Amino acid sequence: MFADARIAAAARELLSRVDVPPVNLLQILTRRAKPLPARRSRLRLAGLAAAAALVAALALPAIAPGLTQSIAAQIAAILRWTPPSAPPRTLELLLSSQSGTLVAAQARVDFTIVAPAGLPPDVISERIATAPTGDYSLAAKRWSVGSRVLYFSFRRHNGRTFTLLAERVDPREAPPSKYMFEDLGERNGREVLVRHDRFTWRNGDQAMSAIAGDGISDGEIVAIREAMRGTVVPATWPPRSGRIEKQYRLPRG
Amino acid sequence: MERLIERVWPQAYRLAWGILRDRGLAEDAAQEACAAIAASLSGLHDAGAFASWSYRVIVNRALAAARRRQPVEPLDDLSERPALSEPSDALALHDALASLAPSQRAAVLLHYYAGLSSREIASVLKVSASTVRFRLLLARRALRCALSPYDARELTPQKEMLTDVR
Repeated sequence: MFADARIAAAARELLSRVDVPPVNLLQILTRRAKPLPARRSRLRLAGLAAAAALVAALALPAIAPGLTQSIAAQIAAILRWTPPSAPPRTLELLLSSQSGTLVAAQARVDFTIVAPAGLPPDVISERIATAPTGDYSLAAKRWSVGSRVLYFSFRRHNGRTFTLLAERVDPREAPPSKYMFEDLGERNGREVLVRHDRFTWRNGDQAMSAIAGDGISDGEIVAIREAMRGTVVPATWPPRSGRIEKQYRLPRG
Repeated sequence: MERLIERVWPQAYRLAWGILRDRGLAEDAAQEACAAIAASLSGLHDAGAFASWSYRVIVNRALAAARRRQPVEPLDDLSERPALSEPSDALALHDALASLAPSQRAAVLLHYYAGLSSREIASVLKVSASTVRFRLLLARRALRCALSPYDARELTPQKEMLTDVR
């Protein structure tokens, strides 16, 4: 038993010698309202058509999207949708984002940007970034780099975040799905999916999407849409197929 | 709440550092853990469960940071090494821990530093107690090699097996 005691003593000595930086209360309290620990640690996302990556991108910026083979079949059965094959690594590397101002973003996208309006009063703009999508052709069964989309990232006073996504209206895509699904992982042998409402509206050739969740409510999204005088894009359920499916990659950081 | 965070902070940082062995990542993970503890404290009804619950939050955040980290190890992590007299068991342990995976380090630190049993560690890491015991067994072998230059006699395989279960 002395061996264990010796290791324990060494562990205590080792960690007691670690220089602990001063606690940054402000930073911790700013982070305070982020998602709860254990429950979300296994988050995986599911969705339809553009949904899978979009939910990941809009609702859960800190979590990389991904469907594991073990749950893909269950999700496909629930959603009647099978995700396309994973994009090649070379394509993923091309989907990096660029942050900047709205003016810089306008120079990078191929639609006329209509900025969000009617945001809740406690919202702070955190980031404006553009990134290309990964486009999967259902006919050719092939991935390619798509056009750039624009992400508006916001933070609430309670630390929660949300993102609005703006992109060019693309007739090749299916009508937007009415719902997005957040995968909370396995509980008692079954995948638990939480349904979120998805909203899409048009301003000229711009389509903007938002997903209701922790960071923003249904009512707040509707208020934004109305303040922007956006035209509602009818959502469908069950989902329909388009000619392409898109993968969105939310900017990190 | 601020006082609670101030109290938890050193433990959170040390544990995160022990798992991640990187000051920047450890500070980030410890901040996330403290924020999560502060945000979720109202949901904890059993005050006696605070210690193991907070360990779970800290370890989960540190392991998540380890998973996000690029798989690039620094050529020389001496700058991350705490000030220790040489040679010492603590220094040997520091070097031995380098060869372990973050989840193994977590098990070792929860056992030897935080004093948790294999069952409690299993609850924190969300694996079976037998998995914890196996990880500790492997870790102990690595530690035995590291500590053997100082005193090999104290760590026999028989004792190693006997100390798996508490």
